[in-house]
Amino acid sequence: MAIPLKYNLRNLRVRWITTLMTASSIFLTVLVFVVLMALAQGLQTSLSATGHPLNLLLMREGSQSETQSSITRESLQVIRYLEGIAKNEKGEPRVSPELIVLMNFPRRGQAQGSNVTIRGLTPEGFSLRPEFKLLEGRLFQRGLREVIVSKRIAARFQNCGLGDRAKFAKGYWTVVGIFEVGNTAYASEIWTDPEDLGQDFDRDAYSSVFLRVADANALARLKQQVADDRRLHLKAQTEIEYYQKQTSAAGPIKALGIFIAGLMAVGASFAAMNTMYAAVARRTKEIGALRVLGFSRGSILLSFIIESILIAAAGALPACLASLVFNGVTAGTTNFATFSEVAFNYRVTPGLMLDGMIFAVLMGFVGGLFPAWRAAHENIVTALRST
Amino acid sequence: MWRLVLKNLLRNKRRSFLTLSSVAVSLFLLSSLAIVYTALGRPLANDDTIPLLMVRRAAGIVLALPASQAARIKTVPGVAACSPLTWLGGYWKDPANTFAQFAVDPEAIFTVLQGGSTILPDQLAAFKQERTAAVAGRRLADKYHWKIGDRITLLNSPWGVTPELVLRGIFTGGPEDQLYFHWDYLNEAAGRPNLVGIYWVRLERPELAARVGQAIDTMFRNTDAETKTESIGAFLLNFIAMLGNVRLMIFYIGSAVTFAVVLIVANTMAMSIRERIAEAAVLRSLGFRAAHIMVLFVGESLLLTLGGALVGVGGAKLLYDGLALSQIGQFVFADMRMRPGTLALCSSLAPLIALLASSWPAYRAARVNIAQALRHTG
Repeated sequence: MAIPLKYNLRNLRVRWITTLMTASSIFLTVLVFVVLMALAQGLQTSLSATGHPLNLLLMREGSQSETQSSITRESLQVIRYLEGIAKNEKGEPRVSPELIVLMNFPRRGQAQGSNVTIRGLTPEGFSLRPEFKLLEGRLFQRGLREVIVSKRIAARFQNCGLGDRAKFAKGYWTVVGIFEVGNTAYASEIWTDPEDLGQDFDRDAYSSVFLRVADANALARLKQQVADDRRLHLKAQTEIEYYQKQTSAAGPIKALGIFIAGLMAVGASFAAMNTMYAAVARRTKEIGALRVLGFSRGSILLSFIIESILIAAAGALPACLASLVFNGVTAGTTNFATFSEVAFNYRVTPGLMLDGMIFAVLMGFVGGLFPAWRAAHENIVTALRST
Repeated sequence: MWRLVLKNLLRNKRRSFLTLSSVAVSLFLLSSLAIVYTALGRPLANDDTIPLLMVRRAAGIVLALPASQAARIKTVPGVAACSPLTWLGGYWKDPANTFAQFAVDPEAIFTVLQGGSTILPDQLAAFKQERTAAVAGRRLADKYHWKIGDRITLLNSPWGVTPELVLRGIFTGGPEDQLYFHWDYLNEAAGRPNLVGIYWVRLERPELAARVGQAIDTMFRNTDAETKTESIGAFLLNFIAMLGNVRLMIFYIGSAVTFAVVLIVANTMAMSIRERIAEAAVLRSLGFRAAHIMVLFVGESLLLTLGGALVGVGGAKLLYDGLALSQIGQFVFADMRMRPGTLALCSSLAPLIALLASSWPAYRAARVNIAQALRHTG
């Protein structure tokens, strides 16, 4: 029969100082772990949640990103009349030629700048992104050097608020609207008219072409058609595929998080081990008494392991709650695949918090195993005689 | 006194070992974080002794500079040589084989790299003569098993050209993971856009850096292509800044780790001291004063943290200096040795942690009423 949990809880309360200190070091370890994983998770989600399943992205053959790609106006004419493209209400093919320019803007609060993606696109391009929503202001008009800025960029960069004017290329550009595009990669961009953009940066060609296919069957056929067409030298992939490939940035952060948390965990487990060894040493007589009463070695072992896990859980629970403070906090870094800013939110998910608790339980288990083993294998008579 | 401290520590070897190991692991982590923190703030430790400057477009690194600027830059007093450096961005055979490929001015590039890189004179002459010639660093050539005379075709560059080069030289020292070829070749193949990425300027003397930098930037102010001239370290900082506020995050994590270590050592000392309150009372009744008792206990925690620091910080120094020697780090992390300042900081944490962790319990044990303490059974 197992030793009642009350025994462990009472002991933890009596030795509250040492319980508190051990639990606190576990608290810090779990907090660092959860926050770093939330960062990696947020980065990954922001990149991978992008894309409508029926959107195709066409780029120059061999380009890894839109910034490296270039599509001529002649090619655009060929693309517009390919088979399988959906039509809008006016009967025109739903094709959006887009121009990408990277521009260096200073972040708020930092002297050094970061590259932000400026995307030139037509109203058709808006319709291809169903998550698009204009929050304030209005859309840009051609010929006036007007832009609309995503909410995240407006918050994180200087000179990007509604009404602000920023100087780049050949003149001053005005921010006339703030938009949001769900939690996608487009949420870190500035949008404007492609002809205005092209003129100011002396660009004659487009970077990429987005289009909506009529249905899922047409998707595969159209991809093949683009690949086979020798005039075009383009490759087609679904929008989802394109952004999926960029999520590799989150990998190193996860690895780093595990490295840091792992080392901290070693320290915290050793602390738990110390605590439990001391607890066992102090309670040797009690253990002897418990054995005499009839509790088996197994139940003693279990009891002390549970006590250690309880300390760990006491540290981990507040850590998981504290990590919620970070949830939704916006941060940004450079997506080295496109060499431009990607803003994301820290994402603390229930799954992640569960991971944190399991991590702590593991630390508690490792910390408590050896002392519990020693407790379980005490010689009853010597134990009873100890002071 | 110290013999007594040591003997006390050895009484409970397991506890001392676990605590020391905890401190060692945590200080290793802290040292790693500190090294990255300093590297991100100042990528090259010896920046001001290098006689090189990078000239880039003020509006952003991704934008190009006109090729015509080269001639004007060379007229600035203090400039010994100037070469364009234009990133090709292709790969060799397989998309995984990406490395730095730069279109340069073959007449100037090795003057710019003088002192850092060396190349055999006949290889250099061959490189200068042939328009399709290329030179590669030793490490790069070894990695791909290239020999002089090999044809190297670079595919899929964003410039839309496919340079077909012949390896004519291998240089050692300096940026050995880079490949250089003729800028003229790239320019013609791309239809003469006459653009370069950045200019690499060699100074006659390192002290001239600030003056030359300002002169160059002033020369191109109010033109269509304003420049920003910076040292290599500052140039690297541009890329680091793109990562976002990593240093702040590292600082927070480092603080959490430090805090955790203090808690761990404090936990140990609290337990250890509580068990020996009666002993401390005996010592005091023998004539030791309260101050002696405090020194005894604080000394114990000091020995633990110093021992941990020796293993943790020392281990970090050996590891990262060793890695730096083998030149595993590139680009931003090229100089990952533990700098003296970092070493001093991390080592000084040991006595700090010891004091924070043990002062209060030691003080209490030293001041408790002797008669009561003698009755204390733990």
